[in-house]
Amino acid sequence: MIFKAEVHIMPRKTVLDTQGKAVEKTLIHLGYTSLKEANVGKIVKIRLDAESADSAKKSVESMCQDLLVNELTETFDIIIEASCK
Amino acid sequence: MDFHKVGLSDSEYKTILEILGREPNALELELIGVMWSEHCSYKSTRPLLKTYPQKGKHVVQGQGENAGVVDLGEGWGLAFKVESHNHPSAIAPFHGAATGIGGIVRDIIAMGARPAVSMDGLFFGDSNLQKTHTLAKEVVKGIGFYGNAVGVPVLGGKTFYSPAYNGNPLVNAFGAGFVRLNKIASSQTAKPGEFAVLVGSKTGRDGIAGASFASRELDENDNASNPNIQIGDPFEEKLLIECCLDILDKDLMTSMQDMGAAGILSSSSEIAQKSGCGIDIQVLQIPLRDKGMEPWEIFLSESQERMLLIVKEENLDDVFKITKHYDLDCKTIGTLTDNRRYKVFKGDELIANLPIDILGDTPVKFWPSEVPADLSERQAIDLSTLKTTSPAEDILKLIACANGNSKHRIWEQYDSMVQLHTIMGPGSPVAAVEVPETKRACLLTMEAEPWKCFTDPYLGASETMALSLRGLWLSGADALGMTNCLNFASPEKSERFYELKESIKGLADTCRELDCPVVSGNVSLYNETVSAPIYPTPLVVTAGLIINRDEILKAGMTRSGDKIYLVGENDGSLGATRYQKMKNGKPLGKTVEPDYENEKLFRERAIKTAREKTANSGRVLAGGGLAVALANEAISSGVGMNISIKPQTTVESLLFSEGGARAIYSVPNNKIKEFENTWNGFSFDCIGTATGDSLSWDNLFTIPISDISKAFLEGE
Repeated sequence: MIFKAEVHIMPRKTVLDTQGKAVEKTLIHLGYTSLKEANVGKIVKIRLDAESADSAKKSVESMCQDLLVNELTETFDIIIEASCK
Repeated sequence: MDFHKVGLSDSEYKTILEILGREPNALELELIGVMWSEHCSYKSTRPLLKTYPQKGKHVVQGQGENAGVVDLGEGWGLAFKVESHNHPSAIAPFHGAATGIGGIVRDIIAMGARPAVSMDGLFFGDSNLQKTHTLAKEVVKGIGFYGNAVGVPVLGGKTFYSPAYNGNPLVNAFGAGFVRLNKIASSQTAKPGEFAVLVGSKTGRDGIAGASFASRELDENDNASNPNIQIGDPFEEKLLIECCLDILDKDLMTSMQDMGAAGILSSSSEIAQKSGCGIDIQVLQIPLRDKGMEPWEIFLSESQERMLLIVKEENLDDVFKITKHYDLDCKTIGTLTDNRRYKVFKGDELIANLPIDILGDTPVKFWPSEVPADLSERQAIDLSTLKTTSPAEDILKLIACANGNSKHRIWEQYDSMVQLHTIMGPGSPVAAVEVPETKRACLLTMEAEPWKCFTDPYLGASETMALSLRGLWLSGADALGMTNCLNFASPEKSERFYELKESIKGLADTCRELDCPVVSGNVSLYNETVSAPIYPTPLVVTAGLIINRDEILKAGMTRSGDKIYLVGENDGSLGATRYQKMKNGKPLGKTVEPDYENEKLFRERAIKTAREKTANSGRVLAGGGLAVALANEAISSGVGMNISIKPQTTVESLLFSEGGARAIYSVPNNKIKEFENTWNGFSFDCIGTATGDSLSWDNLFTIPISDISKAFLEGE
């Protein structure tokens, strides 16, 4: 069965998010003074073949550990959906 | 709270109780624990470092400041220092190396100097392992990322591969900057009543939960075994450079200190203690990046790109205006007092109250020293195993090996020309940079000889130091001073402490005998993994001066028709050389004994040769000995050589021995007489002529320089 997975990768709360900081500063400069915080992360979309949603998630988790995520500086969430095709 | 958790021993805790006359509260214990750690207090090495010669006619600022300063003349000084970032780079190679650059740049700013040069000493594991390449790639990327963005050129460095650094790489970052001598900043000139101002990034949880905090629970879903690594922001650092120099230039600050290890705690306590003051700090005033930070986290945080300035009340408004212009956070966080106490307030509540000296005047630790049981084994060398059957093949192997080949794949990633003052950059044995607004040049050499230090820490360190000086002298420079990074294993093991002690002695004796004071430095201990300690690795960077930059003698400038001279003895030692290591698979045998009188004779003549321009090119003998020096000179000049010299002992020793004051020169025919007059009183010999497109040696070998070039550029 084909599953769609989205990996949401964000900088760890405890490390400096340099991109978020740059976005935050620039938006404030543009006049968005109500802004409190901005963080910048990334989304990786994957389609994969798996027997179940659970095994799809496990497989994507392993991809995160091996390549997609640097766990020293980033955290991630995985969202799995069954694909129609 | 258990004092062991903050790294204090039973006896240290007893001393603390005696000083305080009471038990410290939890926050106080954290503060003392960190300031008494090896990392902050240098407790194992302070008595040894005192043996360094510290005074010299060029020294403006010696050890004890953020960086040393030497006099370059015409009102200019050079602030310089080398610092390790070994452990952070082992955990997170990219960010560790990047923040290493950031840290050394701030040390230079803290002296009031504009950062102008950086160099890197990199020691990686086995060059045959993929893991080594992955790590090295990340470290180099990190250095380039930060250094290129912050606009400080990388002028060279030292890269060394050995399985001894598997799992424990070394990243030593060197920084230097130019400062007007009447504008030098200090961390010892704060006065009671003045304000402590924090400029730069907000304080987050960076660097907290490192080794000694691994047992703490962290919020969020952070993996508690991972320290919160520091992430650098070079663009913020660039603003910090300009902002601090601007404030200094307008005479709006009285003292300055960068924030490195133990962040706010160490910077504020050091500035107060060294200035003979106390300080009150208001923790609620410190701008925070993370929510819910505890006071101990705030004080120990190693968030990057922050500086502590001491400002008089009447200048505060102007300082705030300038920091606003640079878009930097700025907050008054404390007041200097005359009571010599370190007090922390949370609103009205006094949450820590310590005598300032307990944080700055930390106890020293004496460890037992014992000659390593295997030292005689390390020093035993069987010359019969070192026979060469094909000198040509061996030369090519020595040129192509990981420690001999071109490092262009590394330094091409660095900007070496930014600021437009580079005279000699990466790839040259000596780095050189213009002194602003003058005809002068500042020259720098970085050296480390881990194999030689492993087989004999004293002799190895001495040879390392002498080698760095010879490079300067040969280029025509007078040595002004040196900075050193001492990378060693655990001092708690008596054999390792012996290596540390002997290495320092070797450096100290050589610096004293050859008139090169030590102005700054850094010590990094506990460099070992479960399997083995690293080699004893003292790294030195020596600064020199040439009054007229047109008189620099460079390498790689040999012209066809030049006579090739060898100055110095034909033989050094084969012990712990690149050749010996290649033949035996591990370093064995001692390097040469120091001969200071001979070094001084060399110094005088080498400097004269450069200034009188009696040679077109010159190169000191280093790794790979005479054969590799000639081969490197041939490929960098693009001209072959016919060499004719008979061995006094063995062919191997003539070709490949290392150590001692020795160099090759290329002398044009119309300067031969002058050159020989200069070297009168020192051993020298005309050994050949530059010609053709091969390196030929009597009937020993002929190697096309295209083959040498290929080996050098492509490696093994």
